[in-house]
Amino acid sequence: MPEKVSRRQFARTLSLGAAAVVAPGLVGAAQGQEKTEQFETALAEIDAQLHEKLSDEARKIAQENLAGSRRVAKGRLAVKLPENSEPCTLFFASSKDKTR
Amino acid sequence: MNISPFSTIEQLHRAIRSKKISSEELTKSYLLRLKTIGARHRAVAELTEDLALRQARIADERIAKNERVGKLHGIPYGAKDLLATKGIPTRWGSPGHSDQVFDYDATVVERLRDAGAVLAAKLSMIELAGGGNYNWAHASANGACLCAWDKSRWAGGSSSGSGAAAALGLVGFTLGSETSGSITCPSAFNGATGFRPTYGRVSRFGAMALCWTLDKIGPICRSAECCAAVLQAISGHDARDASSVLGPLNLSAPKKKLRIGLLPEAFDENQAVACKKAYQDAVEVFRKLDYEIVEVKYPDLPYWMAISIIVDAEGASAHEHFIRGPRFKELADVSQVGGFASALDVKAVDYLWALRFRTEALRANEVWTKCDCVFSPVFYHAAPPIDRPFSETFANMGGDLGPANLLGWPAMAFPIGFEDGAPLGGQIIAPALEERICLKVVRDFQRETDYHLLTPLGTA
Repeated sequence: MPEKVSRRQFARTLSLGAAAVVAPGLVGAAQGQEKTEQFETALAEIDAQLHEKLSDEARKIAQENLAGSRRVAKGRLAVKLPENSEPCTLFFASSKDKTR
Repeated sequence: MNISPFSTIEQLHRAIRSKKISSEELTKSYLLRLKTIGARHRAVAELTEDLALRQARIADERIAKNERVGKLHGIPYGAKDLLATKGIPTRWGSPGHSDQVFDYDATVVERLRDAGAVLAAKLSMIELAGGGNYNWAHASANGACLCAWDKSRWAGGSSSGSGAAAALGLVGFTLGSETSGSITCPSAFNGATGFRPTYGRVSRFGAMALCWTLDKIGPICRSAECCAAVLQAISGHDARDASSVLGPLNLSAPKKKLRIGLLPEAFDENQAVACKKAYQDAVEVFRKLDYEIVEVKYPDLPYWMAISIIVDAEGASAHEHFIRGPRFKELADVSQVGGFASALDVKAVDYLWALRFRTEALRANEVWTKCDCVFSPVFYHAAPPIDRPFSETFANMGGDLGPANLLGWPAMAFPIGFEDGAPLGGQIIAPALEERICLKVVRDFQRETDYHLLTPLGTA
């Protein structure tokens, strides 16, 4: 499925009132534009991890996604989870002779 | 009975078993369709002609010896190109993985080989299953895969070729995969029937990982019955996949009267006139079939926020080596480059929140006290045009924003009508491990209607 599409749709839906959250992909449309400068550090860190710096177009998209992710990160705080609740992950302890 | 490229698995099985057609003849006829119609729709990533003919001849030898064979024996199929196939390119739809070849088969490919099925083609897909937030239909090494019914429209994604090939009668059945809609979307857009099983029902060993905690593999076929036959063959525990469930698959129809839940829908807000009519007609069919119809709601939780974070974090981790490497820039859609790159920035606390939220989201299981399954449209509109970005064309599409994928619930997508000549899909969503409910409801619907039997013009 178009992951982006669903997330965009999700964000659009939420921007209509359900919660103050915008997912990646619907950045400028729902909540106004972020200042470019606040993502310069993050983009520089991302560029440093890549073999080649992002093109201008990819960089613009990455910046929009970063803005969306920041909003999600902020918005998730509105969802109260039980204190100390465990993440839904599994790890089975293995015997000492199992190496992988 | 005469068989056609659109015959069901049962019909093809009977024809092969009774020697009305050999597997080799059937395979050659499907190979021809893959080379012609499949190429025109960009549904094929790699033709596996030599392997297919070898496997078909082996299948025929067993038939000649009157050996006992299963339903899939000798039937050609296509596999989404994210499934590892020994010695055959597996490019994950990505231009940056053009020379990737594995030396082993995915578990599902092994299981289908053991069932006597014939691998005829690897089918096209959105690059890296679209995990980087694609915005164009051409986000694939194969270009935009075209809708089976209208070549000016998209075939859906990320299992694009699987949906198109099933609907175009290019093979007997196909395999797709879904992280979040990648089976239901192309099924709906092509008028095919697709079965997303419960998370863990089918082994993911040998499948490209996008999200370890969301990925599922399932069939896309031409009917619910066909999907059941394939799911039966590919499901079952596999020690090589830590998420693999232990219990057996039970597809026997539940005896009790089933309640179908209807969610609040937004047809009018999305100008979904045709979809509203198709949906209401489908509900009437269910009533006529003596299903009880009830209105339901999921708990109001931001399921998609969690999915969004999980897709970013797990997708970036699964493909980190590639993202950091020299071929990353080769991805066909620049949105994917920007998306995967920005996902490197996801914080651990955000990801762990999403995994903790998933436990909280289990509250959504409350819905199953009011109904046995949920019916909803896959999208509010038919497939969008290929020449415009999704940021424009999906504005009024809707889509499943509920808990189903996050909680690993099964769903079966199936055709329920048309909009401007292109198919509309509905879906039956059931509780985890209750695939048999999806199967019963859709099978009953398909016995009463003929949407799944209609074929695109000019492809017979």
